[in-house]
Amino acid sequence: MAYCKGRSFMSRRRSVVLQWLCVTSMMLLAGFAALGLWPTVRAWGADPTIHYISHRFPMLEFWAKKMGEYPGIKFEGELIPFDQALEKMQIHLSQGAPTYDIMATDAFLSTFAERGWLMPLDPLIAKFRQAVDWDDINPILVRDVCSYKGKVYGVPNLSISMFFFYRKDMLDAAGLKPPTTMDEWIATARALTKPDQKQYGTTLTLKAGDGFQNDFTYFLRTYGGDWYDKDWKVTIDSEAGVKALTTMKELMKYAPPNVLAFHNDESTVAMQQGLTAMGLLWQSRALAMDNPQASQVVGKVDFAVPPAATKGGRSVPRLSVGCYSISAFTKNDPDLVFQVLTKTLSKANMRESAGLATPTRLSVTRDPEVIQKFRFIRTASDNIQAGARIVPTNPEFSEAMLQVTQNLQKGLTGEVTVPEALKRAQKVMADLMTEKGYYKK
Amino acid sequence: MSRQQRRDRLIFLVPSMTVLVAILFYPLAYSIWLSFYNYYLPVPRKSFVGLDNFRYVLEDSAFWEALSVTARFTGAAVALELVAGAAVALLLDSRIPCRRFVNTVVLLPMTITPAVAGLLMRWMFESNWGLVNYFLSLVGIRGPGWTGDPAWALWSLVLADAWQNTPFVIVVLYAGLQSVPTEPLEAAMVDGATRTQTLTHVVFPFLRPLVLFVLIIRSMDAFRIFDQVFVMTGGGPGTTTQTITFYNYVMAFRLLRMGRASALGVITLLILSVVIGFWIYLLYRREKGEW
Repeated sequence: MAYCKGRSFMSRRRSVVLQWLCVTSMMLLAGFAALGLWPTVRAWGADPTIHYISHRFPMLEFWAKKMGEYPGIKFEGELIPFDQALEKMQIHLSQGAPTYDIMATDAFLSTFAERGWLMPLDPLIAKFRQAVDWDDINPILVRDVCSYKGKVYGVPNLSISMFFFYRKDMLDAAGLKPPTTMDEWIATARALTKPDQKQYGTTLTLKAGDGFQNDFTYFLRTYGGDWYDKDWKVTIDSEAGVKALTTMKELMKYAPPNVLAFHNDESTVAMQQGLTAMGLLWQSRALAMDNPQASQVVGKVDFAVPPAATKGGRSVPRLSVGCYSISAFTKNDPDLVFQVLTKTLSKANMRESAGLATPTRLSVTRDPEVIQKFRFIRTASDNIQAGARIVPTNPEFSEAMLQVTQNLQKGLTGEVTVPEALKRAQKVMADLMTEKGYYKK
Repeated sequence: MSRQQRRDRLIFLVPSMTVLVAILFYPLAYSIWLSFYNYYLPVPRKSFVGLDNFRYVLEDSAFWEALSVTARFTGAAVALELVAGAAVALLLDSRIPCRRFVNTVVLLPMTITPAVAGLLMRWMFESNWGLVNYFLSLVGIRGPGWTGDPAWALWSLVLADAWQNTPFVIVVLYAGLQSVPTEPLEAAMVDGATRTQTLTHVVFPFLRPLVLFVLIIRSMDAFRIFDQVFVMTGGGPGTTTQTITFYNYVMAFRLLRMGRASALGVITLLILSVVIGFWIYLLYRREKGEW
């Protein structure tokens, strides 16, 4: 006390300030430390947590649910729209963060593998070949879609293609047959469009990004074009490109008014609610047509191979193969993660989910009972026969897609002409390819 | 003030300055630093490119398009909010029944986060099943495709923004109306001024600084709009609703060009500073009695 009395006012104040600073700093440090350490503390003594991310549709929801039932692990799944899933994965993986263990990499598997973000699965396959019945998984899908530069980076979990959905009741009532050519599609759509009754001939999926890309790729390839030639030169600004975009523009006249904002979900709902009579939709949406809780058209929708350009011509529907990959930055035991993944994709589970997409295990796709039970598996097989193909797997394809499709959209809205839209879209892609060193100067 | 006192004051400033530096100055400085580098997210190595990123952005037609969209959006949204906000504030200031209830209801949109408001609006403006087109159909109008129609997409964003932010204008102007002194109003009444004359010559001069304040705040916010664009239109159709901030997002998180995105951010900051500087200049001129 005597000591305190002896100190000057300024000295006491300085002491208070210093104490206050010390306490504040310690509280801040304690707070940050607690935030940083909390996940570690929480993990002590608990089951390992497997973090999963993918886009969302029924098949992937099914797999996520099954992974969640795997014994001895805690499962945290994130199922979000396609674009957002891609964005989150890219941000986390580019920083080397172990945020996700299992990811649906699909069309960007090669991009991620090239950047060193994925774990090569070959050693794990060798170790668990028998236990997970690896050889039953379609080897063509493993080799052509889930591998990169000779190494396996993914496990195929589904295969889907785009079907031509049509309302057989409406077509029958109008005395029409499902269209087999583009001209027939336009004519049928025109005949079935009655805006006063909120009925439109066709749906299209035209939201910029992968939605637009799916539809455009089908039109482009069916007219004989493609995104690139064998030397990686961008080739959408072509006669086939003009025909593709012009047909889409023509069909848009018979589509719901806001079809430029339609992604897969909106197109599905438009069919389910009887707003549209036809359209290109993913196979994974087929079962939803017969769901009485969500659909007003149960039993009224049938499926066919999408129309060809001309009579007797070739239709080239979009094919998509889903791959699950393991992050190169996972902190979990890779053996465990691989087993969670491959044991979830078991024969029993694939048989149970066969209605949601084409299974990737040979024993299931060849099972007559499964083929008999799910009527659209026949269409899926017809699509493959017709020549359904996946999109290019080079990293630039997905990287430039938003800007490319934004430019193509302008051709549909009339903001620019169709050839100008193609020219601009091609330039965006070509600039990126040049920047990445694809072409010699 | 003694040297010791100055030092003490500086010590007291340390905690708040630490927070400011950590969450404001450091990211800003980092962003400026990054804008001089070629930083492609998947490749950890950054290389110094000087002003190349700025040149790229300024030569990019998408940037000018986005700037034009942002300017049109900001102008339309802020004008609509000011007019609607002033009208409702005046209505509330007059003796209307259930004033307290109306006051509360009017404020509700402000309590909703922009992303949620965007989702609500997306369904309201849905052309086939949305409420807006349903109400229009009741009076015999077939509503447009709103978010999917290039002619209406920007307007649907403007209306969504107005729905959410007009309450802010109402609150500020209503508070201003409450503080208008009664003497000049009574004097105007004695002099036989009409209601319009009282409004324009007596009430409005009192509100002018508040109007400017609202203009500054709302212009800043509207210029930075992102949530509603992301949720409602995704920048489309085409690029008709691609605002500067949305384009910045595309550049950073879709194209992963962090250096260019930072340069775009710096340019946006400069543009916004000039606009806001102009408003503030006007405000100070007013305070100095120059207008």
